Amino acid sequence: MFSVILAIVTLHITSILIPIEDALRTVLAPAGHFVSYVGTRMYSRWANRDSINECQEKNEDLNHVLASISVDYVRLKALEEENVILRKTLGYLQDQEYDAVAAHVISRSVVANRAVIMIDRGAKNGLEIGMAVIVEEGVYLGKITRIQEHTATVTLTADLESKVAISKAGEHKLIGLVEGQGNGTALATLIPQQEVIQVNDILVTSGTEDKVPADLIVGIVNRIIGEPTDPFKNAALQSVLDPDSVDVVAVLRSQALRPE
Amino acid sequence: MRLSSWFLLSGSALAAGLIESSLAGSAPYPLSHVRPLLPGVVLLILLNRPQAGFVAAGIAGSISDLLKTDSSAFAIARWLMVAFMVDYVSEKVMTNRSLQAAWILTVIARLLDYILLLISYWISPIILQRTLYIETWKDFIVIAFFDLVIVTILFIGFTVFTKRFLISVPLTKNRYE
Repeated sequence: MFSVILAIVTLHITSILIPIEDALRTVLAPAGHFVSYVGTRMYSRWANRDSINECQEKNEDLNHVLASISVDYVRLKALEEENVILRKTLGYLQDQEYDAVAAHVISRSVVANRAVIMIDRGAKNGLEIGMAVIVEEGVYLGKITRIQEHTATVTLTADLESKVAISKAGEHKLIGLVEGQGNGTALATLIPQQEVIQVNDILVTSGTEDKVPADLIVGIVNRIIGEPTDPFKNAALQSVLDPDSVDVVAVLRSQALRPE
Repeated sequence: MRLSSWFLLSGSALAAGLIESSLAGSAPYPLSHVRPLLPGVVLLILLNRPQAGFVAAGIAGSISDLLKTDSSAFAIARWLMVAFMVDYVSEKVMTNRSLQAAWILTVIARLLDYILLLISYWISPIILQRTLYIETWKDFIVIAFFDLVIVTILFIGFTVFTKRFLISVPLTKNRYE
């Protein structure tokens, strides 16, 4: 018995089993996705069972956020229209630099302070470590941190080991980092004191990282942390979606890496 | 065991592995703490089917290692060792096959599993150069509680439907007749 156990552990550590493990993982991925989907649906139903008071409080908070975002939206819409007209005028052909590779979630970390998922796409689909994973057309979820042939592990924004460079929406200027805190929360750190940042500001990816494009929504500023005398300030972030209720994600793959 | 029983066992072990790996991370609390494998293995050992227990631990462990995001925990090695040790305790220490024995063996199995998990947490940075994140002792208590619930349901189910655990001595008879 112990020789069998020792053999399995040794073969796993020395990576000899990797081709077999990959093949088995590919076979098991649909079943894993089905079971994970069932769990996600259960979670979504469970999470929606808030009391009326909690719902009212949430509603008020969201109304404030919505009012603030609506103002920005109107301004950005006007800018977007202006941008379209200018592009047409210049005969500018917009290049899509990234493909979105859709993937299903097949498992999630069971440890409370970790936020990691496994998806059913891997190196065979042209994915690489460091690629950004998004949901709903531009909400940043995390980055690929481990890759196998047919599966990949994604570290989400709230994970203790997650870091992503950020800027304020509409300003392509690096202002700090968003670091995961565990327990489903993230903190914007290393923001210079002179940088003006307010509650309800939207923070997006800065585009300074390789394989992570700019303007993916990371979160909304919930609270500013720090004294005016500190060299840097922090900001607690509110996520725009609940990552535990996500079932389908998209990995942003550079077009140059598209498989033949 | 008949061939059909082995198929049923393999299917159940596969389902247990998927629950441990894919459902545990997605389901809401406290359902996320339902881990059916070890109570199942304990019951198989109590039913005097240790080989079936080892096979179930092997199948579910390999699925867990393949699909879990924190897969460096060597679930297959851990659960095989737990099954082996529970079988040893059941054979050498336990004197009967009662519900109380099932509870004690389940708690022992979960404790051993947690101790082995702690050991893999300590050795993981040395062997795999990677930090392994494990569940807290509070999670462990909730998991152990559900283990007891599952093993009780399974035990009563087996008693009612198969009468495997019943002592067939009529109460009216003198025991030593």
